[in-house]
Amino acid sequence: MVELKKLLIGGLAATAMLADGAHAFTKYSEMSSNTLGVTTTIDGGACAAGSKAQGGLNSINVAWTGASTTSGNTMMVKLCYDDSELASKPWRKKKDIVNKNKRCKQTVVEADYLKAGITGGSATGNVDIPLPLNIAPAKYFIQVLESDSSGYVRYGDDSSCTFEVVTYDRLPQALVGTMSFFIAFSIIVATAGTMYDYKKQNAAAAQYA
Amino acid sequence: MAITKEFNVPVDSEHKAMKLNVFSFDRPHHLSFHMSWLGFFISFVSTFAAAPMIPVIREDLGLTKPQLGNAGLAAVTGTIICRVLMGTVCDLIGPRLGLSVILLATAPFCFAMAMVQGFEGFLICRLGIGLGLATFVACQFWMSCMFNSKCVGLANATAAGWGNLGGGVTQFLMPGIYAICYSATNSRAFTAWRWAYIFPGMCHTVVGLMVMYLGQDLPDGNYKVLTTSGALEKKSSMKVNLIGMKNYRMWCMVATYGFCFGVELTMNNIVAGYLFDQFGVSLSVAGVLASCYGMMNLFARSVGGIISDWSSNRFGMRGRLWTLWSTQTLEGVLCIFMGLSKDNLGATIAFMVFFSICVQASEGASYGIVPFISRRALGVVSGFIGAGGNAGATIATAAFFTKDSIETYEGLQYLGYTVIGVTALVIPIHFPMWGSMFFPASKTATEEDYYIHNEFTPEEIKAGLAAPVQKFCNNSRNERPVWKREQDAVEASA
Repeated sequence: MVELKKLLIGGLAATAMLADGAHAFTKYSEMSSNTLGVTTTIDGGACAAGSKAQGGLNSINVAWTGASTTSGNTMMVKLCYDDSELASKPWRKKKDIVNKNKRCKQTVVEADYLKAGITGGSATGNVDIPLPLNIAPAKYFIQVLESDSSGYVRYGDDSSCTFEVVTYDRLPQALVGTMSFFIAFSIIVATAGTMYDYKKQNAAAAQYA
Repeated sequence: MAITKEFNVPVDSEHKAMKLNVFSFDRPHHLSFHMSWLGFFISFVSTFAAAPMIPVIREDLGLTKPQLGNAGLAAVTGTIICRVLMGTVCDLIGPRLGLSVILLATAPFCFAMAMVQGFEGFLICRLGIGLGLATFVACQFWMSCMFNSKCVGLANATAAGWGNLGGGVTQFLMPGIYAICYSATNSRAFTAWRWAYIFPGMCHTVVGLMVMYLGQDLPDGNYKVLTTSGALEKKSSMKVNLIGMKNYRMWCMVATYGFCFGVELTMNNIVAGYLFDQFGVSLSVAGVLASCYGMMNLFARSVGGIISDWSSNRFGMRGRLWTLWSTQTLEGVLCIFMGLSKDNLGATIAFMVFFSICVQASEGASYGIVPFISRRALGVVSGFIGAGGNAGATIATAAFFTKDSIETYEGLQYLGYTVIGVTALVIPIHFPMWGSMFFPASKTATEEDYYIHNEFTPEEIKAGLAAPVQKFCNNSRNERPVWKREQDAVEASA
């Protein structure tokens, strides 16, 4: 009887923990029944097909629902490549283990998260995030993860909003002008230098002709 | 063989230096040595400048893995024809002009790289910059003209090794220059990598001029003066190409060199990206670790040359052939182990370092043999074998490192097996007067038979065209097996 009571109490405690989502996961597939609802807006406007945002200029607002009310939990936002941006790019490979998933990792300026350490503890929330300057120009969607002290407990993707990030002018006039000058300069120097050497060698050989 | 009034080093009858002193800058031997390795070094820095910045470039230009592989292929393939041509250029107008002109001609591509906007532009610029790798042929030909058989292996290996060092130095130099440009452009990564290309472009122009004005083709002067005075044969391009191409030994070494130098080129292209993607290290750490591969060139290629020269002293040409076979087979084994260590960064780096040492020692050992394959067509032979290096890189990259279906660590293992197989081609390389790995030298064959009667017609011999080659024959008798040298000494004293 005592043993049965201990089993029941343990089972109830485990159920309570699961209901609270306090058990940590490492894989997305383990969190398939613990999901967050995520919506994204760009500079206050709705995200629609073909929406664009510029790194270093625009901001996005990410809102979520269905999070835990446990205090001490934190939220983090990831910028993930759309399916169309993964083909033949193994450095963006999708992996089930959250920390090894390259699909949601920026590599130009290395970053695992768009924003991390957002205070949780409420079922709903939102955060404004200015888009970093050096995001690879591509199509993305937003992913939100919730974690407690032991690891990840929930995640959600905003699959209804795929937006395109464009980047700043990579070829400013100063760059184009400088490099064009050096192209011309190197050709002139090569031609003049070779002709001068040709004349010099001919002059030295003239005594033997 | 005493020190003459004209030179500050001991020279032989061809006025080739009998010792290499890397701290000397005396004209003409040692100043030309420094110009040749420096020119080659710069071409390696620029050819592989993109590799450590690939994580930034691929995102800027939206490149896929096959596109990156093809651009890397273009960098090492375009120069195949250029290297073959450079061999003929060296035979006809001299290595000084060949090396300097190719450096000057490829400078504009470095500057143009800054303005590419997609895959096509990136490919064309990497192809154009990669043509500069033909400087290798001029470098090796030049050293074979300046240094005699006692130290030609060491001179060739040191010059080429220090030149190849550019492939390692660029792995941390370009990220450093990129970091400066990143700060200067207010953290604009996609503009910073473009500005960074100004450095290799300027180096091409400056060093190209230095080589042209400070170098000298031969110990006795430049080609123009020597051919006009009659001291040097004015060669026919068709004739020297035919002499070289008829020699099967050249083709064996084209293949074997393809899988030592070709492996180095392949690794320069892929290793930084492999470490970044497989182990998740940062860009700068990947660059530093990747540079360890190329940095072994500081000494490893010279070690190959030294062992080649030492083994030649003990065993003649047979010693040189065994040295090459041993180092290159070991190279293949270590490549396999590097691929197998895919889950352990420490083991990967350790195997990579030893693998690199063997790759470069094999290169040094190869060019201990190349100067002896042909005398009259030395440039053509150097050119074809050098081109073989790039052809090997093309084959290795295309077969093992471009397809999505083959992981990079699998590619390394397949590459290792291929290296071991191809290295067996050292076995059939046989010199009648010196022997081969398994077969002895002929008692009656002489160096004159091989270098003069084989490569000159009786009319040309009568006209005195082969006279300079006689000196080479005398100076290369050290490649004979010991029993034949002793026989020679007995006959001479009798």
